[in-house]
Amino acid sequence: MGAFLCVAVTRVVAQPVGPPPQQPDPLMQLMLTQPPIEISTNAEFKVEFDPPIVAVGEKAIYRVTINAVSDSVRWPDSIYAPMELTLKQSARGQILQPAVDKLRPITTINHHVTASKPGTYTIPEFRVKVYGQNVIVPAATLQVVSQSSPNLPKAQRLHLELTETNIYVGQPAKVRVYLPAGANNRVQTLSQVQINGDGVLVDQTSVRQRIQTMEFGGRTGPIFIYEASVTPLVAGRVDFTAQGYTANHFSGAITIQGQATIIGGSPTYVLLDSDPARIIVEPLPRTGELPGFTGAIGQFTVDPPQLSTNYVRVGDTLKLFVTFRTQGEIKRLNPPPPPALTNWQIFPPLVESGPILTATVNGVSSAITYSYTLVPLTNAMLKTPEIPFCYFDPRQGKYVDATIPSAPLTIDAGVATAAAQALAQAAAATQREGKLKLSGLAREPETSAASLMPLQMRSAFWFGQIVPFVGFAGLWLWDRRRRFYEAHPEVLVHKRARRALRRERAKLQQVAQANDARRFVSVSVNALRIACAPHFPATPRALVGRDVLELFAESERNGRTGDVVRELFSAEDAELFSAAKSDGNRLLSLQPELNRILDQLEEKLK
Amino acid sequence: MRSGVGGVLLSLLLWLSSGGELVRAAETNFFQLGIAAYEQKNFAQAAEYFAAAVTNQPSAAAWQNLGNAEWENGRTAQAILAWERALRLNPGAQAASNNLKFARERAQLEAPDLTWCEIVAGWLPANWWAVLAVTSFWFAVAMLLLPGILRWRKSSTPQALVALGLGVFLLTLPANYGVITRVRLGVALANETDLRFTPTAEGEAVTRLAAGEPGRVLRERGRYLFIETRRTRGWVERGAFGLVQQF
Repeated sequence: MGAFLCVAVTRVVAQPVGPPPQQPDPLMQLMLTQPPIEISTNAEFKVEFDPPIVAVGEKAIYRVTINAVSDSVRWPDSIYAPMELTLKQSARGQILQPAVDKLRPITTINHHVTASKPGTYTIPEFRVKVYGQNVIVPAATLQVVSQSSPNLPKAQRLHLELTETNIYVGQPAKVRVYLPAGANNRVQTLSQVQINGDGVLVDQTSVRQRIQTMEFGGRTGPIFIYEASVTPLVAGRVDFTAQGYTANHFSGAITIQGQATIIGGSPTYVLLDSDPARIIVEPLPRTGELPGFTGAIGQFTVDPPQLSTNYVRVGDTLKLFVTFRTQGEIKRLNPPPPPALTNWQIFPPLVESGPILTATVNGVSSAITYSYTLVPLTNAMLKTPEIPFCYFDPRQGKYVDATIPSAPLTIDAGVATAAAQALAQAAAATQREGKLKLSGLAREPETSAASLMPLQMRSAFWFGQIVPFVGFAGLWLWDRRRRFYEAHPEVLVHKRARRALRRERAKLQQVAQANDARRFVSVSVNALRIACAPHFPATPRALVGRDVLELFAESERNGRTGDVVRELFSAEDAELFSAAKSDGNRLLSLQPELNRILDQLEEKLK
Repeated sequence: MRSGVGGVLLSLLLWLSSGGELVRAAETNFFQLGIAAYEQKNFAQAAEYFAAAVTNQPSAAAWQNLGNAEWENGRTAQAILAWERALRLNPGAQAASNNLKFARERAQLEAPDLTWCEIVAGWLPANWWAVLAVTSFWFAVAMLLLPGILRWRKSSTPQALVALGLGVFLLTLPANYGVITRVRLGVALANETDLRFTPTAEGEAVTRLAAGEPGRVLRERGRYLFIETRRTRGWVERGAFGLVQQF
């Protein structure tokens, strides 16, 4: 019993008490250790002209600073300014200023201002939304004098310089930002330097900064230089500007040459900017491109390739080391892809070493070494394959062949491994399939087409659709009418009677003109019968004069209408059954009255 | 008199038929002459004969042969245009399709960027899609109306046929749309064709197009076309850009 309890206790102790505690996310931890950004205090604008006094045509900076996050400031597209002032936004930046336990955001917006006439000009106060609240930007005054003087203070500006102004798409160019020393040769450094320009890539890894004593703008003294590499991605005119905050602290490595006094104390963050600089970017020519172009622009040399061994067996791997060299830096070189061959399996290259920078008389040269892994699939080769490579030389304006040459080697004729044989067969099959060649001529002219223009684009085709449309519409209408008459046969009977009556009346007109009294009587009676027939369930021939008179009112029956009808029916009876002939002229004289009667009857048929 | 009219009609018919024969004979003649010149390696002459053959009566075979002759003449863009036209008339023309792939691989050119509607449109000749669409539509309309008009016995068959007709019609709509949109496809006719920012001779070049590089016309202004290639957009002179089908 005691042993059982021991086991039970041991088991209970050995049971896991829950899931292991989760490791905190390092990124989240890092974020939590950062001091918070202050966004709670009241936003206040500080406005100034730098310098406050300028000469006509000289540039001043209208600088607006606010203690808020840049994204929260809804700055207007245009600001009201006196007509004599030209105002153009030149830079906008944000910096986080360390405060007690927090970071204070400071947003600065710079405008370049030039004046056309001397005077004192004020940009009045205006409202801007910050964090959704209206905040007043105070007014600022600029004094403009007619002539420049050495005593006038000058605005501190950045100066932008490009090493080349005509380059090709993808060709890196050096850009330098200068900040000359101020009064007493005291130099300031820059923080958060930005190179602004549409369609350019700024290589942040190539940034270098130094303080150097040199002549600049007719004055020798220390100067802060920020250097970066930019690569244009689109052709055309590209305008660059630079901006950065003055800060008397260093970010990143810096080289100091010569004597320089650096301002100490708490940092003063002032956003400075430069005038734009322009480069003309040409597209790479599409002609003359050679095999193996991977976007390399510049002047490159390829060292003779080195092999890890020059004696291998089929199926063994060997490495081919290729070193590319160029003047300057070689950061963005894509090595040429390996060619597809049947007797070699070649793997894409990997960086073996570099880039290695070397100081030369002409500056800096760099080299990078790639290694290609090769597997011989047969023993029929005496050298490694050539690997096509070419670069675009901007100085010559053309593509230059720099194919990686072959290297001699010996391949043992030993038995290839099954895997190597399979690879060789697959590569050969792929090459057979992939090898395209021009097909021969067609021998027969085939059925000819009227035009290359598709039917869908021809108006005649769409007009042709009217035919079936009209056909189907006609059929549908006909069917509708037919169904109507089936539902209302009396309409059809009346319609037919009207048609027959019109025929008889035309005949009546003819016989009256021919003075044929005998036919006049028979046609008249027939017309009367046809006009009355739809009102009786009988055929027209079965109707007699009384039937016709039934359709008229009592007064008409006893009046002239009745007389005319009776006379005509009597004349017809006499014509059929009596030897005595009626008075033809009298009967013909009844035509106007008969027409009136027939009009009345036709009206009843409608 | 009646026999006189009949005689005139008969003569007219004979004349027309003989004229048609003559045209066909001339066309066949140009075609055969082109083949003969091509086999004698006289590619410029062959191209002229095939061009005459396609002008008289375009056929996929004539366009394909014209493409071969132009390719041998070193006129890549014209060859690509001819093979594209051959494929428009007969999407099943394997030789033209193969030659296009071959030429593009050799000249390092990309195929045009087609929408899915345009890919579907290439499954059948363009006119077939139009005929299929209208036939199926009117068939559906007929099946909707005729049973009532002709008083057929009531059954579900006409309804099923209406659904079938409308279904086929709806399925052909994307292809027909593709046929219409791909009319705006073309290729640059000359090497180093400037693609400009603005439709002017002084406009800055965005890029230069290689002969045979495909593009799609988005709009026109004067003697310039605004085209879109796989990489960029810009204005190109009308004469420097050949459309597969004129619109």
